Amino acid sequence: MSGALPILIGGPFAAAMVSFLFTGAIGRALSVLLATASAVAALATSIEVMRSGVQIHALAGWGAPLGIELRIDGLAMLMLLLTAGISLAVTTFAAGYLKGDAQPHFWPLWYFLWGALNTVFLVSDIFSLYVCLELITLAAVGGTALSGDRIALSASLRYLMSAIMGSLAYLLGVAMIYAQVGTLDLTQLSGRLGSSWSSGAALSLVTAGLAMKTALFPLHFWLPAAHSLAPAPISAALSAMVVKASFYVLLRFWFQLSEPTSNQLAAHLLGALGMAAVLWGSVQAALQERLKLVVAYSTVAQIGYLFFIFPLFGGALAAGRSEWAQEAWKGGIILILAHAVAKSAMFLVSGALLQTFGSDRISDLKGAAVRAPLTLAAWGIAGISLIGLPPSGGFIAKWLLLTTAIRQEYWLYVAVLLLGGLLASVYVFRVLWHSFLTPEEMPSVSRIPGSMSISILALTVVLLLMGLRPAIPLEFTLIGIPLPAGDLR
Amino acid sequence: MVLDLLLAASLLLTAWRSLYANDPLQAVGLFVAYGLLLALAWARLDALDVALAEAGIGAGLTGALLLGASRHAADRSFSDRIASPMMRAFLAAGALSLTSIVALALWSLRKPRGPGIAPLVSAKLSESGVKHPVTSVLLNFRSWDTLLEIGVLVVAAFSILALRLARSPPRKYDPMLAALVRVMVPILGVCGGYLLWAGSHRPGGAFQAGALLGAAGVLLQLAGYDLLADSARRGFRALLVVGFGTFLCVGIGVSTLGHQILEYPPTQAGSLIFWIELVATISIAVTLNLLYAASGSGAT
Repeated sequence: MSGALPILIGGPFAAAMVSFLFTGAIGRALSVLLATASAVAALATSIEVMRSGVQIHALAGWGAPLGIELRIDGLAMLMLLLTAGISLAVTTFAAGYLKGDAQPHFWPLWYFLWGALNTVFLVSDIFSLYVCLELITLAAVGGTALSGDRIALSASLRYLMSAIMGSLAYLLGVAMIYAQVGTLDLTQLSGRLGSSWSSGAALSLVTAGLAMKTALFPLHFWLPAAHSLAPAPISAALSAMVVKASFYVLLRFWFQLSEPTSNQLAAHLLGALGMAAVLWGSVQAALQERLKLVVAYSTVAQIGYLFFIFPLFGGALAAGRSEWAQEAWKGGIILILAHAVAKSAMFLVSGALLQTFGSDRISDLKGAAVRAPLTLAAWGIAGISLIGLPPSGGFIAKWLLLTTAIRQEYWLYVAVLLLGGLLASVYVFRVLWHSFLTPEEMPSVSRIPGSMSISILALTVVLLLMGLRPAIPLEFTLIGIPLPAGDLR
Repeated sequence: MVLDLLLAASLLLTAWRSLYANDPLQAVGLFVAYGLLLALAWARLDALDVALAEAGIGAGLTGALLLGASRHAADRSFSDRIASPMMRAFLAAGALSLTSIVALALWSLRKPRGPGIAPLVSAKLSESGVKHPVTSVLLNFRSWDTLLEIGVLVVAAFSILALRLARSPPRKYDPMLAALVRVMVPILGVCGGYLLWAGSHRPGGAFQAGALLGAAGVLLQLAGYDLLADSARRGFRALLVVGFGTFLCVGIGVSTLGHQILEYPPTQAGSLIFWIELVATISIAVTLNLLYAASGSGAT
């Protein structure tokens, strides 16, 4: 195991401590350095996974089942890279976005959130995953409450309660699984759960709890307020990464721990809720007056697509076509990545527009295309990916999902995939349309710091590259994933 | 047997009375009673570590936090808004169905399925640096979880400080309280120290010791010590993060010596665990006090 791992784990946490204790310029520089080192270490670890396959690290030297193991396969590697990239962009943006007196409170919570996100993608132990998710939740809730007004406080409190309900359901399921099998290690649990009544109950509890944390319709009620009232950099991290962390754990449970074919009925239930989420979230997004609420409801919709992976994968296996299952798997993973990049770009754009025009009402955006052309262009590119048009990461993901759905003749999923894209174009172009209208008098604008523009542009470039060079992430989605036709490299 | 049945019945009774109490103060009182009974139940099940944690944190400090918060919930309309009768009925129905699902699942698991990792823990106990199995799991075999749990407390403290709470008005001098504090604080300090030391070979450890020291701090706050006034000082902040910071430094530091992350050198395992627990106790006590200070004050 490489020497990069301790830096990858420790960097953001150390940055959090430093920025908490030393709020001056030196403290801030040191914490940025520590966090950046973690991002570089994520890259180094990924290169190692690409070169020599799955990396395993026995924490405290014991190994499973006595101790906890870190296991980095292709999926974990992509999530770590994603976390590093998005976090760097968010950090750069926040340095320009936040006012002076908000900064000392923001940095410790933000770096902690970053560190917590890393841990969830590393551990391969179902109880430890619970602890990691709790750490993420608490840091995310603290970040949501940062703006400090009463509405944001009540939104973050509701977020906290919902997330804790989800955690408790998850924990109950984990306890039942441990009682049955006697180990907590994901790899050792694989294939040993059986299909008894109690294992079904345990998996249902885990799935329900994680669906709550991932905000799957109709358990999304906490998300729009929390994601739209948090400060823009935190909103970006919440929508891009935090909901994906619990979804990632759900993927582990469904594909590594249980037999994906054995519960096709439950998979279709998740798929149906996903379809409802796409339609409900997109319609709501098109109706909102405030930019950040548009983006938040769009997250509700895009999370819906992610849940298509369960029925599409299981259906392909039931039909005996493992190459179709691979398409579903790859499509789902690329969608996680593409949505994370597009959505963080959109929230950062919302923050930039809020600071440029002093309002995030869509009706106040008249003339924005002239005054802030680059920011609006970034909105457009991120929108293209959400709709699923080429060349973007979103196009590749939806193409894969659409292909496998058509091959399996799941016409309802096909219809929702197409209709969802259409509805997404409504809320994306509605904002652009308003920005091209000519106001009676040009709005007065305040210039935004260069660091904000740089981070937004970097994200859009990544998004376009994902569409132009899709083979790079696609190749890594299968490393070490025990899919029927995917090999263990 | 009769004792156990009585205990179980009074658990249900206090839980029900606490949920349906008329005013917040009564509900909190019953909640604390419920927590203490629950601690007894854990003790009856031979889970002394859980019993200590439940009594110290579940009943004691959570009770103190709820007492502080209940001051803001004094009028009826407030408590009705957070839990209307219909909401309570809905929650009760949800909890009941969940409980029956779990009960059914547990019933199907009633035959013992194998011992889990317990035999492994006893086999490796001698290499862990401590003699108490629970401590060996928490501070060595699964130290990663404990590190992150202490991180959870740090994040809670960060979040509270970010709320920029207003200080509560100073209390009047109360000679009775002052006398009580003078007696109790040293006793709590000694008991906390004992629990910390005991953790290496019998039930005890950082969380329990931290809860007791935290209680001493709460008494000091009751007697007039203003914790929030100190919260901007670097010394206070250092105490808040010293537990997590030290644990992290040790965990990452050993990996530069050719070990895995968090893998203590076998000869130093015992003393490393002791020092980590000591600083963790301090951080836990300070964090719990910050929580208590926050529960009694209003947001600006």
